[in-house]
Amino acid sequence: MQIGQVPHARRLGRTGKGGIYGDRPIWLVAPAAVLIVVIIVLPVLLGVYIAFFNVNVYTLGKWFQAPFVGVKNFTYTLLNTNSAVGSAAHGVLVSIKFAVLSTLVATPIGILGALTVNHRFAGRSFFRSWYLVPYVIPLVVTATVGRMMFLNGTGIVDRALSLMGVSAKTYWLLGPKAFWAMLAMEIWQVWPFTYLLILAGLAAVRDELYEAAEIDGGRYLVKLRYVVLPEVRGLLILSMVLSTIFHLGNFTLPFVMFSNPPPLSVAVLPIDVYYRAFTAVQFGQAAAAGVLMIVVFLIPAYIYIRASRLREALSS
Amino acid sequence: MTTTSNYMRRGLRRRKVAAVSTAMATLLLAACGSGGGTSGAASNGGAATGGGSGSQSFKGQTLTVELLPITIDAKGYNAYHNAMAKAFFKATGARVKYVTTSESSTEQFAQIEATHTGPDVLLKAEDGQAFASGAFVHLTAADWKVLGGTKQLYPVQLEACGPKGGPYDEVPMYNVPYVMVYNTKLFKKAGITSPPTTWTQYVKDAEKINDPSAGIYGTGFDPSDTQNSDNWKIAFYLSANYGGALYADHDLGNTPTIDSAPVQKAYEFWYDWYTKYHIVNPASLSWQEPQLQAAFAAGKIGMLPAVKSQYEPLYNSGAIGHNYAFATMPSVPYGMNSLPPGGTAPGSFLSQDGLYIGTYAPVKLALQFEKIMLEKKFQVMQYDMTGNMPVTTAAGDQVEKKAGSLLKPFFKALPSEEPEPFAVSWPVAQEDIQAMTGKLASTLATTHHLADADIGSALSKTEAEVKSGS
Repeated sequence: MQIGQVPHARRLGRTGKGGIYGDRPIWLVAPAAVLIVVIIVLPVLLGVYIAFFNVNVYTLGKWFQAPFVGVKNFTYTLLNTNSAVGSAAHGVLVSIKFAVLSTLVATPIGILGALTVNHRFAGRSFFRSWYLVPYVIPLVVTATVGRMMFLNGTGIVDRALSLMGVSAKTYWLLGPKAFWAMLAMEIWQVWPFTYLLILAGLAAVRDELYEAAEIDGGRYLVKLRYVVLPEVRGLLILSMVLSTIFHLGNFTLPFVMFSNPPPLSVAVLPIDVYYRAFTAVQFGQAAAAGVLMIVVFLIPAYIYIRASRLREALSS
Repeated sequence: MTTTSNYMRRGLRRRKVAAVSTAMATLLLAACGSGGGTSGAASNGGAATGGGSGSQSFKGQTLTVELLPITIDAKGYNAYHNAMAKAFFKATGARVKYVTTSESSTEQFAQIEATHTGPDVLLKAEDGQAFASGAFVHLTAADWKVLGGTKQLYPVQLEACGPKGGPYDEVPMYNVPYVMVYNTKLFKKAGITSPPTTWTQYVKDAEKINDPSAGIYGTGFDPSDTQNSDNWKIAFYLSANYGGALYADHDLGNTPTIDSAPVQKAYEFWYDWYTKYHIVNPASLSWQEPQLQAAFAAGKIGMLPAVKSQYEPLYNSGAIGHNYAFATMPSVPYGMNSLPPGGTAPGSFLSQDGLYIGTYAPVKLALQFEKIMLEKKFQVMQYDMTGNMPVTTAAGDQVEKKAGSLLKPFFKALPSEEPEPFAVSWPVAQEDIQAMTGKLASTLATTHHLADADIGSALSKTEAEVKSGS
């Protein structure tokens, strides 16, 4: 037997004899594929369709016969600033700012958290579990508690900052400061996601690499930079991309922490879509905002795919 | 090396998957576009098929009725619902299946309109949007005869059930009037002997009560609560006093008058409570309604406008205890001695919820349930359970006789209630107005200043937004 050859096994692929598994693998996947088409692809296509029609309270009952308006829904949604949630362009900017800042701040915290519990010490298991608490608390609870914490005058954050002489009775839930209150709660809630992924990655780093770095005289920061980060780079990129997508689509936090509609500074794109659909009852405009949201979501996804392909090309 | 047969097999597989996907897609599109229903006899959005004598047997049928989720006094609610179900079964031979939903009214109504399915009868606030959608049955004169006629209702109730002169798609179930509430202990301490009847007196009394060092303020507001507190209510009262309104008339196609002088004066006066008279807690700029009510219950606020009787349990359990009373709202604008020409003094805006019948539902059966709901016995029971006022004069008289003096102002407000606008754009206008008050609160929080021009500009944008969606 040659090394690497598995006897009596059928191999998938382009060989002839003993080659592909026949029809079975594809047919096993077909039900899932059909469900994906029905549950995900079709609704997306219908949403894109609705975005070009004037579907509102008058036409919702027979939406297939709603009048065609071309790109009017897109232009109105993007540019009209009179809406209670501002324009969709504003929503895009707020969403991107929110997602980027959340990722940039939460990622180093997650890495730091993973590093602190990577090596053995007494009580490590407790801390490894304790770090997950923000992540397992339902987001609705986090948002509600966050609101109470940031109330001016009575909230714990405002009181603590007042004691430190930083600010006195600041309105953290109104105006531009509302964005920073929401950002703080988001970072608190999501950093364990990066921590989990990086911790898994750290477990796979070989001890020989650390030893080699020590032999070369490398201290902690050198090991971090030349051993740890390169080894967990794939997971790090994955966590950043997935985190960004999650932040972009976060509806619960602004909806629960503030009223509906929330202050303009936290009117992210999901809130825009919800408001247009279920408050203004303008489904065509909501669908247009939804299409815009898909485009925004595709950006981090595209970055990830490009990065993955680049890595594969480099390694091959 | 791939053989020709492998290519052919792959091609066949792809065609099979595509065929199955297309079939599923076609089925889904057919379901979306169809006007299916569960059990129904009425045409879509049109008149009902006419009433029956009530003695028709519906044995074996089930009527799905959606009422509010039970949040307090579950035992009492269950008793009320079960009693109605029992009476319904006795009268018709059919059963009631009660359902609740956590969806908002707008979300659910949109689902019903799009799918033409849902609960047979559902409880909903009145609005022109639901009427215009055609998702609910428009009742005929014969239907009202089955229900016992319209004369059993307070005259103003019908004004909220449909456009002027009918037809109506809502059968009112209960009425929730809003009056003001005041802290009798704080009033006594400040030497105030009676609640204010003018807005000038309101401000003066609030200033007397004000004691910021003790955390006590004369009155309260929650402008940044864009979800709970319906910040259009204060404008409803105040603009009426000034001789204006949020909408020019009560009818379906009516356009808003949000950007009008009376409405602007109303909001200028309201925000002056913070900027000029300083009679509200500065922290309340970011409060939501539950916090505002909790502050009153804690004895930290002298009086609040536009509250409903359902807050009694909250107040009774708070530090205020039973040291509060209700009163009708002040009716003379600030700085005036009497109502200006055209000004009115609404006792309350008419806030009612009622039952709607889906066009897919068994209308004759649903009418039987609504008839039972309107019976005096169940109207009184509903009041006992919830504190919501009855909609029939017979039940109202009985309830008023046994109600304590505490609730007298609510009954006093009933005859002069004015209905909310019935325009199709009204539900959206409410949300836009609430969003506007939130934005103004944000401006105040950031700049600590709010000019009349800011309010005017906000009202103008709000009206433009409401009109653009009509």
